[in-house]
Amino acid sequence: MKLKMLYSFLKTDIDEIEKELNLAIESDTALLKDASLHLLQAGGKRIRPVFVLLSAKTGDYDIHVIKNVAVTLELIHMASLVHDDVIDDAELRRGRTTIKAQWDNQVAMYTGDYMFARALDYMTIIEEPIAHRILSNAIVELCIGEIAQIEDKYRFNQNLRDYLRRIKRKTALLIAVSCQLGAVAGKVPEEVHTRLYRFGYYVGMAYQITDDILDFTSSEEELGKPAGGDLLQGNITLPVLYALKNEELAPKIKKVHEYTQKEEMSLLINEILATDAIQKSAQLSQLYLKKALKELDALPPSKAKKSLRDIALFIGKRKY
Amino acid sequence: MNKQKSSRWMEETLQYIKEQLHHSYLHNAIGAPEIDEKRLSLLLLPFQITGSYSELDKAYVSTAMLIQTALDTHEKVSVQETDSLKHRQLTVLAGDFYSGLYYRILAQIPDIPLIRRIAHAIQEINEHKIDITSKKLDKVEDILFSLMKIESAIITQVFAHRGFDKYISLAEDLLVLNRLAREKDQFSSDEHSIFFQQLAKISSSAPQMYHNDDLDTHYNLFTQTKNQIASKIKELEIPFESLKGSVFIPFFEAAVQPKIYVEEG
Repeated sequence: MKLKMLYSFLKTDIDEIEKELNLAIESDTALLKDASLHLLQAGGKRIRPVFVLLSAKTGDYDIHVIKNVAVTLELIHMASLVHDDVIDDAELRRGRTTIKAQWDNQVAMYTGDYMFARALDYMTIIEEPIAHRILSNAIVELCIGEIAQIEDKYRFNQNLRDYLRRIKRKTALLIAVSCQLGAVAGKVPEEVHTRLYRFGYYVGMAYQITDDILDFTSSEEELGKPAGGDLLQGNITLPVLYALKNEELAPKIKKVHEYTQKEEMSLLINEILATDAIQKSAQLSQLYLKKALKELDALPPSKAKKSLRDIALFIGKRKY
Repeated sequence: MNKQKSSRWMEETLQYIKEQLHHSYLHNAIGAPEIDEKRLSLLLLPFQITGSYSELDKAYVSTAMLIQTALDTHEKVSVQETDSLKHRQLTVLAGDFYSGLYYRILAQIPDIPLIRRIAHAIQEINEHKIDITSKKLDKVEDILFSLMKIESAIITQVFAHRGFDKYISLAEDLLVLNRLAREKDQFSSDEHSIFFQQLAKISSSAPQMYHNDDLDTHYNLFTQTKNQIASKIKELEIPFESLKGSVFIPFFEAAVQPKIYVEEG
């Protein structure tokens, strides 16, 4: 089953958000509009808007209000992708040339800054101060997380706590606030929106751990990049942390640097796969998933609740 | 205006901004961000004249400085990729981090209308940055207008929000004057100057060909802007002791009639 099937009843509203995203990037400056459109047309799962809509369904659902939160979060995500491509020196994203490759770093920086400002502009339609406190804290934390990721590169003596804190900021936080802000915009009581925050946080953690596992277990064809790419770039992910506990393997892992040869990496990946690192990582991902599902238990039965549950399970089972 | 009081406001605000921007790893790796004290002195000018500066005002002024620092930091991301990858990565993230701080301060107050105003200013600034760097503008006035928006859109919004509308036009001229002075310095030391590059596009069919007239154009614009500033200072009855901020330096310096001529294209 495809992810989209799990929330097909939202199709009209998701189309509305897509339309709004197109309006959001309108600009009299042709190049800015072209660059933004270039990224928008590359598509994406729009998973954050989906979480916003589903969470909002737990309260007073008015698409004309909720869509502003959904557009905000997708624009923030898009702005971060444009800047990430400068950070990663990436030529391709979702099979299309990146803005930095199609134009240059400067255009990418201006486009990202423009999109971020557009996002905040949309967010100001929401007048609840708490919504702004939640989002602004998340944005700052997100940046700190990205900086920590660079600081922690090739730092093999980091621990599980470092890793979890990093993926919280890098991935889980934006999913968590997508859920929480959807609920805040739906004017639900605090108890419900903090519950949805926790649901999003746990799902996000499970999602990122799964992503980190797939970097080792998927083929180059499925990933669109060589397997083990994270380790090669110095990102110490959960499977690596577990594999580092193997005394024989640890010295070999610690020797990895950005110029390690492909053949050498393939051998190392096979050795990591032969340990229990993947299995233990999957266990932790499942544990987060279980916690996510438990948060949903207290919510009254609804189509939205079922979709949130199905999406969480889908994320837990995804193969690439 | 009490001189001691105004320099205390400057110091306290600067200290607060530095505390907000502090990130030890970032600063060790790429250096502490440069805080544009000229701009800060301009932001404080209406408060100095009115003699009142609250904690809320400090938050507004700091917010404007944080977002300006964010945008200035992103200006340092090189197109040519001459810096190291790590330096470039951290420069991008530093700018993102600083702009997140502006939103967080205003969200904590909370002041949603000012968040909106500044968001509009950032949009406008980036539209003009793209225009001025990527296309040929038709007239000298268009170049000046884009530079004015890039330099002053944020201050304009903060002044308007705080009810200091009468100082907006003066702020625009002062920031343009400072920008023109900077562009001339860059041009004179053979660094890239977007202003002179645009002038070259207007005056020559071949790009990057500078003309003697371009320096004259710069001189005329500089003088004209200085005259505008002088008449606005008079009109606003700004006391002489308020003109001591570093943003007034180009205003008090005599404009030099161009003597050095570059080779004709």
